[in-house]
Amino acid sequence: MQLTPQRPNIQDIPAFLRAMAEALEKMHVEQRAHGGIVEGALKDWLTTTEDSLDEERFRAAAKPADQLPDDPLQADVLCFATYCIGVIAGTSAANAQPFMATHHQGKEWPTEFLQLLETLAKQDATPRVSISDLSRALSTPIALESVLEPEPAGNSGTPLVKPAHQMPAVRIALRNATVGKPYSYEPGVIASKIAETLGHDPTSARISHLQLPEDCGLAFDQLTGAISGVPTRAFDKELSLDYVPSLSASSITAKVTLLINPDPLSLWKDLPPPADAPYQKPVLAHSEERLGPYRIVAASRRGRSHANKSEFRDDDYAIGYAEETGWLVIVVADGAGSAIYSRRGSQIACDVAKTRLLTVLNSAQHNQAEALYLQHRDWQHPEVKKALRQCLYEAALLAHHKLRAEVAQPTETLAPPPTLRNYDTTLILLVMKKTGEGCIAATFSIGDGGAGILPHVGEGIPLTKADSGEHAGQTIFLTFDSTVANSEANLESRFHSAHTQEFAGALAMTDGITDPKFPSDAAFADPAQWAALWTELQPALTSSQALLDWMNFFSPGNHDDRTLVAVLPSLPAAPDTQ
Amino acid sequence: MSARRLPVYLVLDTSGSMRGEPIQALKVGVQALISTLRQDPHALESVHICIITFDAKARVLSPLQSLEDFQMPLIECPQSGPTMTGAALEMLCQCVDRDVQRTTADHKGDWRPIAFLMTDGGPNDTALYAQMIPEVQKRPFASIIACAAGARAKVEPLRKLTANVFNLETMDGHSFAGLFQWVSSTVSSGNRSMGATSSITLPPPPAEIQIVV
Repeated sequence: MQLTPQRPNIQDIPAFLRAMAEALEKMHVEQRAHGGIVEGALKDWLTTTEDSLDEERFRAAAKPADQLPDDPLQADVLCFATYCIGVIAGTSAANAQPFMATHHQGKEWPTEFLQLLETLAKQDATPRVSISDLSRALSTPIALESVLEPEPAGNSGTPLVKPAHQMPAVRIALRNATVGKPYSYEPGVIASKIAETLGHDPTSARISHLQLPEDCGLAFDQLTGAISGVPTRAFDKELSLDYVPSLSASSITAKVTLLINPDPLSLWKDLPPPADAPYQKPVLAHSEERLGPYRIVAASRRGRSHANKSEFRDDDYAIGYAEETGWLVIVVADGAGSAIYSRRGSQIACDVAKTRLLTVLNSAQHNQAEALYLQHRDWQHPEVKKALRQCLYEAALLAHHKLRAEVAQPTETLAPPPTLRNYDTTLILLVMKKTGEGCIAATFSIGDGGAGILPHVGEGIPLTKADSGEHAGQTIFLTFDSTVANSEANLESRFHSAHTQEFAGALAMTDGITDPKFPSDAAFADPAQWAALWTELQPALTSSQALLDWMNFFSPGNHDDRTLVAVLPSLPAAPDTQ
Repeated sequence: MSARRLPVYLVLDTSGSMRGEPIQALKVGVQALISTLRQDPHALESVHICIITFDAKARVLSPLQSLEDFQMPLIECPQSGPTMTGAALEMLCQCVDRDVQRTTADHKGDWRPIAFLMTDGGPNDTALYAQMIPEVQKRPFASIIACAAGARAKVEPLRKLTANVFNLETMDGHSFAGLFQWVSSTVSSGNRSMGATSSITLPPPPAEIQIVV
């Protein structure tokens, strides 16, 4: 058999389709074989060869016979579709399979196309099929997964021609939602999107029904077709939707998927760290004290990311005051999440650096900076600054060596033996002193996090520069030889100092605070951002417990340990009221 | 301020040999991976997924998007044809260059991306494949994991790409489920503080996966 149809004129195609549909209908009514009737219809419209059409090849043209639907009319519609494609494309029926492969990558025919053919096959009095409908249906992007509705169980008694609302359905996915986040579809948007995809008129299509689960927080407005609300629970469901293509058409039931993500906040678990692990450390720490002219409020809390995995708090801090000379020493350290004993690393770093700084700064004999200041009477004098820098650097270097000593001889029994990188930690040293001429502050920092001083409540001076890489989570640690190298370039990049006339406060914090509060390096360098943080902190600085509570703030993606030490001017004691 | 992203690239072989059960098992595996990650709060806030498939050509099946918004694309494979793994790596590099944000003065950088390559054969575009290996290694991946699935998968070319090569002996649903469960734990441990040079430590693989050493 070889059909070599001539391509009909475009305007003839609807008539051709109608004729074909009539032929199919007749065939089914008369229960006759395909060959004669269909070929008769074709011959009216096409020039064919003398060969007659045989049923087997008619069916084979569309699909392997075993893949055809059981319903004879549906099967014929599929075969018919193949013929129509052949006709429209000007190819022969025998070539329809390659055509299908080229133009549809072997996919199912677009649902709407089959539906149009089925409409024809049902012999509507006035077929609504136009060539533009057909070509639009054929070009339907396959983003919507086409599925033929499964045969209802026990359908032996169902009529051959199905009612329209049981016609092939499309599966549509709604945009994902998240618990607690407002979610909406504007009126008519869903209907017009489906209509556009299917080649219907978007202005007349509507959704008559959408079955949303009870108490999910979202509501569907039947009048406007809008969805709105705030989802209350997570699910991934297939919902039923009734789509009405136009005012006069009956509705089509389709499946719609809707996924509601859980609220990330609800997923965090708060698990205690293992009680039998070495280097125990409480998950929370806080303190407040008056030291000389300062009031210090400090807190450190385990991050959600650690609590979720039953891990320790890796941050630490230490505070000291040199009574003799009036130097305040603040140390904060952030143990690396990737290092198994970093909680101990940060603790050693804080304790060692603080003790060393207090010893040196408290003694006129050892405190070179103090001695040089008395000589030059200028805290910004290069020699004074250099002495201060040396004092801070030596504290960091001593902490580095204490970490090495811990590796060589751990204070706890560890198996397997630890490596230096197991103790990775950052280190921020902040020393300050109030004098008659204002306030001198100096820092030495390795890694991320940061410190700064506020001369006034409306302005902050950043005193550190974070070691951050091209990507998140990249920093360097006290355990690296390069960070404690005794080179001018290294020391100069890690040391900062400021001499201010006035003093409103100072802050030292780990990246658990700086990441969410200073979203970029530019923000960290901006005095106004420091002022904003200071303002935000005021209610939290009434007590260290209040600070600890404030530190539990939620910021997406920022769930590291958080440590903050705030230095405030100590208020004069309340006058005796007696 | 938007959270820093952890870009995860799934580079999946959809060549003709994957037809049938393997591609079905792969789809279910990817779906399970997504569902598992959605239950991990850190992943839900940071993981962004991109799916690249390759057979006779490579294509971005699903551009980089957040786990929150991600919708599973249709994964299909042709009847037959070559396996253009080199073209897939080329596309991977293009995507990383375009998508992954580096630290600037005004913006914090993304987490270093993770790439997961699954193939059941060997590259047919060997010249391009060889050319792309150093290119991929130039990109800031925290981890590149390659999986040789099935008996006909060629391990040698993958070992040139990464030290993390795993062998999946069978390509049934069970094996893929185990594989993607493991990928999800890899992804979950991806966004932790790490040194500037170190790559992430992979969690131990499940029993179905053989580590190729």
